[in-house]
Amino acid sequence: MQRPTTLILSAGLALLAAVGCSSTSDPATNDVTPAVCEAPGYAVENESVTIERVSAFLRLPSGEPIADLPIQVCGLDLCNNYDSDANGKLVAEPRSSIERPALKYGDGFDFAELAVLLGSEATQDLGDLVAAPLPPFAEGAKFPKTGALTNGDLTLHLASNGSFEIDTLTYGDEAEQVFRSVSIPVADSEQALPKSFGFELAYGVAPLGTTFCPPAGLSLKNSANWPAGSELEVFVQGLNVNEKWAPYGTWLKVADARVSSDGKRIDTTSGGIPILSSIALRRK
Amino acid sequence: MGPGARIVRRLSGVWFSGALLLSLSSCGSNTPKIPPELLASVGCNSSDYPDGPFGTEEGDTLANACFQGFRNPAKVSHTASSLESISFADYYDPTGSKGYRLILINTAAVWCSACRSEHEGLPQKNQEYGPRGLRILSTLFQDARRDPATLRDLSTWVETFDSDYAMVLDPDYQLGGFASAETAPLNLVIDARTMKVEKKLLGDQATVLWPFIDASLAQP
Repeated sequence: MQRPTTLILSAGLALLAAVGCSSTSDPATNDVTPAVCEAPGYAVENESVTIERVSAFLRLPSGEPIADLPIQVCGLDLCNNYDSDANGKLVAEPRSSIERPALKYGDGFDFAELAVLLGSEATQDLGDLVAAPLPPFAEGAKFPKTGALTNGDLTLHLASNGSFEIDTLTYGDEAEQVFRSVSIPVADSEQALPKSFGFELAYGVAPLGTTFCPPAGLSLKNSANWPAGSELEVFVQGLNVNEKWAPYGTWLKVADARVSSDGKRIDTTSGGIPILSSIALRRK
Repeated sequence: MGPGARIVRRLSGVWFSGALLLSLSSCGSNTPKIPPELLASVGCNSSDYPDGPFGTEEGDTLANACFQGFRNPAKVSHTASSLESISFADYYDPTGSKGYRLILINTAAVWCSACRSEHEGLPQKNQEYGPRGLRILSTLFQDARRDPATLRDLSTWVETFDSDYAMVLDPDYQLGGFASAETAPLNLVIDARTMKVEKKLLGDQATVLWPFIDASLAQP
């Protein structure tokens, strides 16, 4: 069904790339040169596969079906829109040849977006997919020029010499340009968070596609109750087919992190979040 | 956007869908009202455009359609005052007097990341093939929430991708006869001398599209 492409080899490179922004500062003058970042790019050759039909049930974390949830069967070359029906049932029939197809559920507005890479079978049943509602826009955190912003369990740290860019084509209203996060139930999301990765925490975020230069630091509540000092890895999922910052449909390691000495928090120790996209963590 | 509006768009007739959308919105539907100035189907006549029958498959003659947009977004401000009426007929060049050989008609939507990825490379293609007689006209039909595209979407689009080719709004999805509004992008290669559809491709099939355009432009 899905292809749990573990990007072990590229993870190190990605981590380097993610932190590979150039910036300098002169302590004598306190002059800070703006950081400059270049998207690493993860595009590779892909075979097209013919997808006839994909079915699934869309549910809330509580188990209730979700009606009219926006869903896409989208590959690098072609995107198809669908909605779940009144009972949460999805029947998508692209009947198309698609390059690296994935089913994306949630739209980054009302629900967190996750991707399930599709296999090469013409007909696929993905079973139950759990979509997590994002907090209302009014509860989101406005982006400061620098410093920290928090929503839900997550806090982003923006560098003093850094910059960020919101995807204003998608999030055109200023009210939508706020940071929001929601916890994803990992155990119920195997299709998007394959077991082979060993993730134990995951989060959906918005505004999707916001890029940070240098990558933003991340702090979060240790809701997995990992022991103090535990060494962790932070991943983002590629949701954009241009694959500038993460490979489409799969997960890329972007940072290392550690549980604080009091066991309450997790903080990145190297690397960071180059692009706002779904986030997952695992123990080393 | 309600399901009713999406069903309407699937019907996708040129005048029909626009009229239905407007009538639905006036009947209490939550369909966003399309500003009349963006519904450019009115007055889309060209006396010297090829006669029908028209069709939507390769070898068929493309029916004329009119839009509001920017003919060259690189040279104008991206405001309402710069919008102009742009039609397929503007690119009809039976004698070659305008220097047009092929027209690439492309559909795009903000929700469609494949469309966005395709447009990242279109300025370069325009610069490469424009001097050889290719004209690109792309129609933006929906926003990120699948509602009809607006001037703000168009402006942000051309600024995001540095578009230097004709980029127009198609909020009533006039190209619905070629492909469903639920699927994008669509690429049509049109012979500017006849307005016949030379190639119809669903998706950003760059490895098919650009060699085809290159070979077609190489012919006398």
